[in-house]
Amino acid sequence: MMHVVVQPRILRQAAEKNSNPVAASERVSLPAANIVAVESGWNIQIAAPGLTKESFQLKVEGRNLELRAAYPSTEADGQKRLRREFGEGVLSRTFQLPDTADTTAIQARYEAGVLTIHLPKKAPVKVEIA
Amino acid sequence: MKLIQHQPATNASRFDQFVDEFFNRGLNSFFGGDHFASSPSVNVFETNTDYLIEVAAPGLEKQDFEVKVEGEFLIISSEKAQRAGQETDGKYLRKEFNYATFSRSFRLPDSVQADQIKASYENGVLNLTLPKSEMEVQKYRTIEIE
Repeated sequence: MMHVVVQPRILRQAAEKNSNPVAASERVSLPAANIVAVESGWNIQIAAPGLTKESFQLKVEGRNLELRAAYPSTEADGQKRLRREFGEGVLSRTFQLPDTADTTAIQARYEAGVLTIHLPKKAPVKVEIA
Repeated sequence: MKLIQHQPATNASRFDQFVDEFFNRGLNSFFGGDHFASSPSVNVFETNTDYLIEVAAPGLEKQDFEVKVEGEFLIISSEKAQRAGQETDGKYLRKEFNYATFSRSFRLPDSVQADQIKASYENGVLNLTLPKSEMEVQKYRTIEIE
């Protein structure tokens, strides 16, 4: 079977790094992401329902943007689990940023279960002609 | 007595859902390098007095949801009207989730009081509380030891 992975031109997802060693009991999953090109740069939307904004860790390392968020591990007392499809373990995903992104001015906002990361473009450098 | 997810065999929205998924997938999906989520994940818990259902549908507003009981089925769906200008704000380079149109159904146990179901939407999760009938609750009462 042909298996071709086409990498998006601008934002490529970097290979999952082992920079965050996790306990064996922690289930790490890859959150779904939408990437939207806007005039001022890019918006990365991460589907992360049921968290709070304090749950997220975002860091830039070189050209990688690393996202990590942990769900609270405890299940409420007296609750019997009949089905569990989300809300457990750790969400982790790394994005490789384009050279044209201004990594010093990244902004993030958590709303309705979606973390939106705004990645601005670098201001163009103008060369004065003497 | 279990909450069993029900997939209706004939559902008009099935086709729409297929079309929706088909056209929202990137070219990558044809080659097996991508995935797309449009049907929300669900958690179901049971306590002595209630069933609790959590539906993960990030990026919506509470008025986008419809929750109804039809016969023995609980049907949770969303219909988010595209806001004017929303799609033209930017160009999608990658699209892996969109919960704007979905429908999930559950077969309700007889013990649920269908007219007492409560729902709230918070942090992208629709929380439903389905109280059990008095009869069912009494089965679980603890007996004081004198």
